[in-house]
Amino acid sequence: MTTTMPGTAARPLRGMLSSLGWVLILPAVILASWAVLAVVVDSVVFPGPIESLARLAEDLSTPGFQASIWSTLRLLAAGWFLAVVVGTLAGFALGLSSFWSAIFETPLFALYSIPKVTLYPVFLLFLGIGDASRLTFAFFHGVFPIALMVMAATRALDRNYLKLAAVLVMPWHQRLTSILIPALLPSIVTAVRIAFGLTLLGLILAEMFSAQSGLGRELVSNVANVQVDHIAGQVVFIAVLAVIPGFALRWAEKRVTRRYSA
Amino acid sequence: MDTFALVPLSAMVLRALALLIDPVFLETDLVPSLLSIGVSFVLAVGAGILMGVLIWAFPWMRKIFDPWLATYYAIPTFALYPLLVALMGIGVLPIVLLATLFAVVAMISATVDGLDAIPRSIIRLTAVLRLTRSQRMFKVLLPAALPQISVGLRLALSYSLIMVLASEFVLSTRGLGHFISNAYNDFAITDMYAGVLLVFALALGLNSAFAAALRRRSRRVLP
Repeated sequence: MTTTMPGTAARPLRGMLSSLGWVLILPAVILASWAVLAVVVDSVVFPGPIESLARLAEDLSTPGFQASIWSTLRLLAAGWFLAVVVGTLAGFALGLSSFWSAIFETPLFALYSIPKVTLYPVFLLFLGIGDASRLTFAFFHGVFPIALMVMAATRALDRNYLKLAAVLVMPWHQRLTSILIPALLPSIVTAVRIAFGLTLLGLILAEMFSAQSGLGRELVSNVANVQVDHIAGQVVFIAVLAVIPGFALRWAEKRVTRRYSA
Repeated sequence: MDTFALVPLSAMVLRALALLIDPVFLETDLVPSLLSIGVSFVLAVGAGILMGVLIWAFPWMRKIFDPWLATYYAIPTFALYPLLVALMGIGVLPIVLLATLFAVVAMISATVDGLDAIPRSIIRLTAVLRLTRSQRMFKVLLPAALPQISVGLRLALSYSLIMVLASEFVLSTRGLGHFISNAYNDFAITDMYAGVLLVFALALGLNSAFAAALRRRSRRVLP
């Protein structure tokens, strides 16, 4: 570990700039081909990137769209937080017992791999059209992979450490910091990253189906009016909104894995 | 509990069974969904393996795509669906395209992981044996990467299923997903639950049948 430190410290800025350059190539290629395609097609229903971004700037200054952004961000943060807390605790509790994890593994995996959107009307029936049903659905969409991954990590934990801690009569906070966190944190960070995407996807899906506000709602209301330029601008906005935490989480995951894998 | 919002399980099962022998339902809802799932799965697998091989073979492609492969699923791809519908109209085309876009990245990542996991000695062996490019790819590299590729195949199937049903559910005129949202909008609650039940049975059945088939196949290839 210590031998690699000077190497990584010696190339901070140059390395970061060059990797940022590589990251930006793909979006640049997509934007350029979009622009070329728009010129070639030359149609009113196929706007170019500059036009779409101009519409996005207009949207961003309207209070209705701002309210939608805040509503989506608030529900995303709350749903993601709930999914992380409940998923980690449930996965940990189930993982401690091989009996309960064997019982819950198959249904949890099944719930993870089925299209949960089709259940959204049931949420609407019981919770009504409003923030409660959207929040619950976003949570429901993100919680299963966290529970599954934390459960697997807990089961893989070496039981001898826990026995040793019991023999040494360690206080609970010491067991947490010196045994559980080093063993479970890498999987938890990966699970948190995966749950972010799923929670956001669930939220956008719910908003598209039925909601009074939110970014998904804005997209669908533009379809009825065939405002393709507005839709394209908003899609770019949603992608940027998702990519920034996506990269931050990936970076955090790499750091945590490097720190605790040794 | 509200008697309107929840119907007895027996009523859901009976209605689901009745739907399965209803020719109109089969023709306008079940068959289009299955076709879209099948087509997008095949497209995603073909494109994903091809892209995976290219990314594995060319370092510059890996540098461009690698950061995005890990971040791709943070982006709600579904946001593209209204855009595709506005450009192509409501129909099978935007649904299949969206499902392919969603499933392909899992396939790419699985292929790259599988090829990366091949021991160096096997790759040197292909050079020693002077295999041609296609022999090397189809007789050595892809079979050696099969364990991870089959994980990718399972993910690609369940991802294309999820996206096809989601896009039918939100905005379309036919398909199993549309049947459910339509039943909800018409307050036909028994129909809605029957549809959900069929979707779950379909998803679980397809996924486990596919997993079982892959397990048999990989046992035959790998001694």
